[in-house]
Amino acid sequence: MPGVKVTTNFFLVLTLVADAVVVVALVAAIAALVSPRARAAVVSFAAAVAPQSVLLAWIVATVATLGSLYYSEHAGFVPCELCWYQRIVMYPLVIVLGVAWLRRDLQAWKTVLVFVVIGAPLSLYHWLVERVPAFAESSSCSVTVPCTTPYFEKLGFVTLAWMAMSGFLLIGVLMLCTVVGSRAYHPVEPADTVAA
Amino acid sequence: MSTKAQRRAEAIAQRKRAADAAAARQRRNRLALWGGLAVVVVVAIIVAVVASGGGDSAKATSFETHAVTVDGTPLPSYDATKSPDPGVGKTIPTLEGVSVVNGKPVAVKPTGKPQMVLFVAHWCPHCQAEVPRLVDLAKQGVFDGVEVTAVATGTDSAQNNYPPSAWLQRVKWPFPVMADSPQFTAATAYGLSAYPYFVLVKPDGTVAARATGEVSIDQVKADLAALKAGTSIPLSSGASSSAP
Repeated sequence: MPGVKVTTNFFLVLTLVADAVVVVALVAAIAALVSPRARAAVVSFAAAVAPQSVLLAWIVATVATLGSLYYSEHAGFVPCELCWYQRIVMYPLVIVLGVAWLRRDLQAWKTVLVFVVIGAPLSLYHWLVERVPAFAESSSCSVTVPCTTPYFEKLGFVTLAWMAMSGFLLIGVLMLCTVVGSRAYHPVEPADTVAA
Repeated sequence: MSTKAQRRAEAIAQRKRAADAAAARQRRNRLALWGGLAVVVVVAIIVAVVASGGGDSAKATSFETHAVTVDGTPLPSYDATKSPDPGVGKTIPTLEGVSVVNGKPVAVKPTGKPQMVLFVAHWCPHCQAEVPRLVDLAKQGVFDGVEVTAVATGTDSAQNNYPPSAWLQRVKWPFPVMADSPQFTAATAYGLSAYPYFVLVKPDGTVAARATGEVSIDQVKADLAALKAGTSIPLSSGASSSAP
């Protein structure tokens, strides 16, 4: 089993990649709102990703779940209350997305986005509780497992809560690719053959 | 008839070509996606291994945690919601241990002088915020006439800002720091319920007041002035109970 430091740096890189994808997706979505050319590019990219997006999202959820279990069961990081809430939202996604992938269910995004809409703000709130004193309900640290104290902080902002939020958002972006891409992607059917 | 059949055959061929092209495009996309993912994973592994090789920061001493001997009756657990505090007026138990910095003996016991015993955890952000404020007050002479001892407790090498010895040296903490045991013997004996934890002690060795959480500069000044004067202590902590 790799050490906590190596594992954390590994997840740090994955988190930064996820953040980059989310930021690019956000910028592209805004550009698509104002530019038909950008819209075409976004649709084309989404169409390319869509056939794999459910599987990719399942991988993200599975890696997040295994990472969470690694930290609690191997590294001994006892989850705080808010960590538990995030787990409750992330863990079922492994099943939901796994089943959706096996069934080639492109409508699964409707269910998955509900989890994302709950999980991402929850993670953001936890991250704020860790960093902004005004969000913490107390100015003391619990002797048990305080939500205010991250087990680690990388690059000045990446904590476990931030990692969870990045995971949720990346899953959300992949599901949106499914929505946009599956509408755009159809096997090419020449119009004059339809009648035949 | 033949023209119609020809058109039909051409349409089928065109359809097949389009389907082949779409399939080829899908294969290319799939390859690019999984190739990109593989590159990300490989880069993440390389970065993780390389970045973890250097060893970060401060070295722990051999005394970050150490056995603590307790002599006397433990104080009741502090509960900020209980007023008056049942610990007030009780004689503090004597603690004997070692310094987190150099392993030299450190003791907390009635000395005939007013005392402040501060329990801090290296990973607690409220302790990290409070300690530099107390260091500034020490520079201003606010603690003159008061014996101050910190107890580094809750120590956990898996958590951030470890080791406590390096943290307290970095912020130039000017008073002795006792290392608590891995079982938090000292903290338990003093009734700690949250970090940071203040215990103000009268010259006769009885508890004058206790508080948890961050305490403002003005509050600390007022409390210490009252402790030194032997008057009623207006101590109120920045917080009562612990988070979640």
